[in-house]
Amino acid sequence: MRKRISRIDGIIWRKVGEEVAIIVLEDTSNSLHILNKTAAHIWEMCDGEHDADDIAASINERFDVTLEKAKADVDATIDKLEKMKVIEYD
Amino acid sequence: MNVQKKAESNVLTSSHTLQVQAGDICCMLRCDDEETMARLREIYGNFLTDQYADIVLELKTINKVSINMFEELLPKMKVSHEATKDGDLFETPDLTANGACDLNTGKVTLNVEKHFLDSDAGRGYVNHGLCLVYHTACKLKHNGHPPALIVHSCAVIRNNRVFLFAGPSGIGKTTVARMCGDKYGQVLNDEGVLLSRPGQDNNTLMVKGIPIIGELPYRLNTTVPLGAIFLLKQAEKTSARRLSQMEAYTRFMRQVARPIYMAKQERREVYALIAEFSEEVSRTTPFFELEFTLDQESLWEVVGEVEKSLDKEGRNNEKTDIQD
Repeated sequence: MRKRISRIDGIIWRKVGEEVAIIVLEDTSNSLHILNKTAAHIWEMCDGEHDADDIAASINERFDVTLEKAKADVDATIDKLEKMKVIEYD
Repeated sequence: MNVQKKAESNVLTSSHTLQVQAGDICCMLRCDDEETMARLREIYGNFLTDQYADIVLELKTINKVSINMFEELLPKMKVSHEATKDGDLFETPDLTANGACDLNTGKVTLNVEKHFLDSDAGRGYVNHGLCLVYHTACKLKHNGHPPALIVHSCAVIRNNRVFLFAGPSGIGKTTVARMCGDKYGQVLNDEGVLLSRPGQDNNTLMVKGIPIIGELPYRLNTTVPLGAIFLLKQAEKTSARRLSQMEAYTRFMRQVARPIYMAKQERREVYALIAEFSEEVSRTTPFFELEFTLDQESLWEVVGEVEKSLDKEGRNNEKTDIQD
């Protein structure tokens, strides 16, 4: 079964140039995370419509990397975003 | 709801009334204490207006403690807020300041120790109060979407453009204003200004004077197009480095006064607005990191070089537009 990925509602983020800045509000402080161009593309595809395979295929096509490398990049980025608690699986 | 009329109808006009302008907001200040009114006129004299009041501030002064005791209390002072669905109640633990805001009528009542206006140490709180009142009025007038936000910066006018020198407290904003004097430009304010948001067509951003009190007595009420923003860094040599949009975004957002208003508000709303504004400004404005020393000549020489490079860039963009 496909596991589509979504950004968690209410997360503050902005596309800044080709990168993305995410602000995570914590209880007493905030943290700012910057995603580079590739990670920003992965983030933008976490829209509830795509799963990790879709995203890897898009990275493979758009950034001229092998599918294997794209899958590894997507897995690593998704893992980081999950730890930041800014994405979820539908 | 016609907030303007509603707010104004709650006010009795008297000689103890001042109307102060901050951007497109007009705040009516009422206070029965003549000494306080004289001080307010002195501080806000360049910003008096006869526009409709968007918000009304009823000020009552109290005189509970000596100036010495007040200055001892200030560093420990924390304002606690109790947000209710209709507005906000706030007070300091020793009650040197307390008050309430009624968003339905656009009326703020504030009981405040008189020394806030006398003391250098109280200046930050007076400025904080002005920011709160401005954002509260924007909540009423613009439904929480201010047309301009307050940026902590020293603003200098040179050749019909404003250059903002921004950075955290203590980085040298007032030093830059002092190093400017009357020779290298005209200081608009050494502590903060209003910066407009770009429209859909990315219009040039405008800098507006606001009656924020800095260390120096510069408080011009004027509006001038923005030239560039310098993020200050003290160093051993003066130089300027162009910043990428992301560098500009992450560093600039810390210089934006938090758009907090006096009512129940989620933190998300505050930071989402700062993030949106910072992205807009970093996209449309040249940003530089300005490393500087206390050498006046080299500071303004470097700023002059940046101005020339911006002019050249502008001319090249015009040529590209014509070719397109």
